[in-house]
Amino acid sequence: MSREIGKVLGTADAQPLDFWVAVPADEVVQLDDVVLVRRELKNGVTVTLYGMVDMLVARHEGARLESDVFLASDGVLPLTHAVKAHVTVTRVEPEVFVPPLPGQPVLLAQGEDRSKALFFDAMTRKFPLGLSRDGEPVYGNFEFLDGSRGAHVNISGISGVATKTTYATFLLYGIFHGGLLGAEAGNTHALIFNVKGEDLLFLDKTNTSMPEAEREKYAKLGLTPGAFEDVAIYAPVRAGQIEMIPDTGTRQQGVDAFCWTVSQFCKERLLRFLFTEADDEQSQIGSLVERIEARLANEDVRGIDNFETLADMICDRLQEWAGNFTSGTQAAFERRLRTAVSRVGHLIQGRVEDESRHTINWRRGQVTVIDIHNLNDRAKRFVIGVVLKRMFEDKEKAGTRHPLAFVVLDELNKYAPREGRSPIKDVILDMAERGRSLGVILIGAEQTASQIERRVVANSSFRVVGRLDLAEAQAHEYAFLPAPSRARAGILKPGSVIVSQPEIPVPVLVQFPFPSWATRPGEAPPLVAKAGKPVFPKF
Amino acid sequence: MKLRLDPWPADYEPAIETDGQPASGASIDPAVEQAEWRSLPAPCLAPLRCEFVDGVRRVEARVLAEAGTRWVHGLFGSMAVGTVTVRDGRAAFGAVNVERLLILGGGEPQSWQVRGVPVAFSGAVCDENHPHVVMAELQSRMQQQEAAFAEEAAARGGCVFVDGLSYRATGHREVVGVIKRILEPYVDEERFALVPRLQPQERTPLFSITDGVYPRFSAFLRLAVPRPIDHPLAGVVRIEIGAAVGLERARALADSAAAALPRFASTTARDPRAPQNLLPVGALEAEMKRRLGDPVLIRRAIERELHEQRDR
Repeated sequence: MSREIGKVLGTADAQPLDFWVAVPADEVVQLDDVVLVRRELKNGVTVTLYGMVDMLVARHEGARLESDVFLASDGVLPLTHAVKAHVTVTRVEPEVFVPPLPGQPVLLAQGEDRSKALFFDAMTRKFPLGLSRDGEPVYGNFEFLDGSRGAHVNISGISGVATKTTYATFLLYGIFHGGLLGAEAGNTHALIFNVKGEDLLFLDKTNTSMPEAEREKYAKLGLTPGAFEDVAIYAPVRAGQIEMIPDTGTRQQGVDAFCWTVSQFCKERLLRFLFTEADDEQSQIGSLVERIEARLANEDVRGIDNFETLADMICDRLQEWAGNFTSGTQAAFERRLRTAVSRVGHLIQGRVEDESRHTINWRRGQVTVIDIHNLNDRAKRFVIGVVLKRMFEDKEKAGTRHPLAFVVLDELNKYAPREGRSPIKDVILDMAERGRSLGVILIGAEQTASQIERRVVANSSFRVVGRLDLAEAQAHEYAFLPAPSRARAGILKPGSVIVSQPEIPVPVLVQFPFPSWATRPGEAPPLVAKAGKPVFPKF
Repeated sequence: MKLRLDPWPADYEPAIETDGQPASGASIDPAVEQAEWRSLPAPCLAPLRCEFVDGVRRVEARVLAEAGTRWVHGLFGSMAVGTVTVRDGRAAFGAVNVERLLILGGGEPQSWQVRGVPVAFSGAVCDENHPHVVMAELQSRMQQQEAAFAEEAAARGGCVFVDGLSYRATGHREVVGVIKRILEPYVDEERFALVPRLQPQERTPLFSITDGVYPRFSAFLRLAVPRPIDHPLAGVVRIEIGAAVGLERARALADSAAAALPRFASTTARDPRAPQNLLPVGALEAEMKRRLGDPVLIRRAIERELHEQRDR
């Protein structure tokens, strides 16, 4: 049953899309409460306005001067408390846009009313976004994620709060383990780049540190806590070793080392991904790289057994291949290629035994984690660029949206910065713009959305904000957040995010449960974990 | 001649109306409490429970009723009476009673329901057909209700302060009337000279007043120190206590008033009639005016109702 929490206020304008509610001083109303008010029209139609509390104000009524509060607390001046709540309307049913009338009772929406207020009733396919402040589930409309009406998620938030990647993996967990995908579950894939720490290398292990109480939260969301089921983990091959050992610190078992062969490098035209500085397009190097790629694709490189030799070969024939490019461009090309040898060289090897095992196959598991945290920036860009291009091409060839492929990529500001162009940015932009029709869903994250290519952010149906720097929160990219939400973004605790989705005109603050999959070795089952404290991994 | 300011705004009646000469023919005994006429400091008292009672009234519209060939004067009036209770260091509004009357200077009482706004005027008739008398009737009814409220408050215990002269209708209860304006000195010139010299939390000795109303005790006390440009009597109020309570009790009540009232004195920033219009009273007046409703809305509703009646 819906309970009355106040009445529509008459001293402020009540409008069809927002109004104020006078709340009795002893009633507890908090931000994010979902409310409704009904207005009966003359023609017998009852209009229900659903909304969410996004501002709360308490004042002394009858006080004229600031110091009146002291007189009131001294028991000299009688003053009364007045509390008012601002409601932003989320939905009007039926769509007759009339203001609620002052004095009309405002009810706390619960159960079915709450679902209606937040459009859950109209979502034929929905995935869990988390729990609202009052512990009730909040869902996202899957149609806005799977490409039918929209796609992509963009997550912003300062680093070190363990919120962005944890939330991205939570979303994937909900999608994969919530029974949403049905028969397609087996063919749906997710590709996760592990760019920092080794947090994501334990997705397939249950989290022994998860407090018991979290189970209830998962249950509320219709999920069973556990680990990701079908996980493939790749890490770069360790440099300077003959054996193909993955270059990871905390986990070796079940991790495959990845690299490319010189032949793959040439045939698949991967050279450009070594030249990914954002300003390259300004210079002539981009065109020179393409020209050399074309030459390499037709070259017989079977005799070349490492990348350094390949680079030597390219440099030797540069004059011949470069044609009209100036000597300055050639020199710049050579310089960068030489740098790449030391940074990326070990990822491109001459001969590899069991080649398929060391080639990244994003379809091998339901979730494929590619660890690149140990690589330097240039090598990170190379791996991301090559893998995404490959995936995108595979999906293009398949020609259908389903089954979906999810890509989780943190530090988007490095790969799709606002200024300049680069091959990797092209791939990400392509994914943002055409991924929707190809079924490639980008779950991108960054510290500051203001530094990301606008189109990448603009194409995301779901905008998620974790804790933000307050100056950043004022940037235009967060215009979807009303002023109070921006202020709240500055004080969000780990485990809380503000989510905006197309159907709901108000961003909703949600809390997501403690991860039920391990995020570090200590949380994985074989080792004895410390008694679970309800803190997030990085704390 | 040195000029001094009466600090109240000129829209109000003057705070000091006396020229120092006795105005009424009341019989005064200045030695009723003690022979020696000097300022009496209030004893240190623990904060006590006290209640303030006040009323407001408003004429919504003056009317003239046709009664055959003659005209009957009348008015639509609203009045409210309420209390503020100070207890355990907290001041809070108590009950506020709103009443609306259609008072006529003759004929039968008529009740009036105004449509559109939830306002009903109950009928009343006064003995004389004159606009001032009709007005006085409204005032008198408000004072009677103030007195009733004060009596109820006195029955609850504590010290009850009633604004203005309404305490006079309360009879014998332990109620202190607080008179904001100084209308006459009551005591002789020599004794009255003490009044301007009073300090906050000091009072004059009680003096008795015997006139046509009923015997009562009275004293002057100071609420606040005036500015050097203000008249030295600014910030002085007079209290009255019915003689029926007995001298001892009256003395105790006067001490309580002298001790307590300066604490509730208002400042010019908060109230134009500072310091005499006490803070709880000022707040209560504002609250009661709010409860009376919007005067424009009520007047328009009355006008609309008259229009409709004329058409019928």
